[in-house]
Amino acid sequence: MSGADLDGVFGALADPTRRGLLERLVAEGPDTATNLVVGLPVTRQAVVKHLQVLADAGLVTPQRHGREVRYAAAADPLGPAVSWMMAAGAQWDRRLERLKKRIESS
Amino acid sequence: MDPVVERSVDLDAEPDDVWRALTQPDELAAWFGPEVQLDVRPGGHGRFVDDEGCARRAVVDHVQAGERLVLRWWPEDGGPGAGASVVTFVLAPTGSGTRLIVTERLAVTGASLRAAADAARTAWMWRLDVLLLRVAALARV
Repeated sequence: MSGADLDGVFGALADPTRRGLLERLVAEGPDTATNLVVGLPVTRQAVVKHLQVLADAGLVTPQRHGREVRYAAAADPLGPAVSWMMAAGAQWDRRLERLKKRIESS
Repeated sequence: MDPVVERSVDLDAEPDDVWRALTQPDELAAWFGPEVQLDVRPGGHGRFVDDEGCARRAVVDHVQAGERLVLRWWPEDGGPGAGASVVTFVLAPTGSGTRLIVTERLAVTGASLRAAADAARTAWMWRLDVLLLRVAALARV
């Protein structure tokens, strides 16, 4: 994955409404913009726009069923290698922070 | 190129103290995660359980007391081929303390990438948090 692709992912996730939409799709499975707008203080059109930004970043996939479009969270948008690097890096960040606290307080 | 992560931390402590923190099981467990066993000698075995509850088996490949420790580990439920990576700790004295450099390199095989992909899928929600932290870090730059 290129730097430009990652920028797209981070940019897409920088907005709280889009994060909320993505978290809901991850937790509850594919859904339509019409259903997703329920309970949100924005219009259906705004939700469609947000979903489009998430789709452009590869974080959700639109699936057409007849006249209706359902959006699904992409299973692994970053690819396994990048996912592994982010997860492993975050784990070491936490471990080394604890090590520093422990060793410098003793 | 294999996926690799590198992190370093400057510690206000002598290399010997840092080495103890890396090699004595009770010291290791204090910062690594809930459960650690490690026989620190070439060929020695170990077992690590991390914050997420993932258990790994480990084998020590290289020991240079006070300077360098290299081990291989892999998810306990996957076998040595799946998701194995090499973890290297290097200790370098600085003027006032010790710099610890950690690298972890994933050995890429079909099995290891599949295991990484599976782990990534199950860690989806958690990974979102990681992404958000990264977003927050970028926003501060």
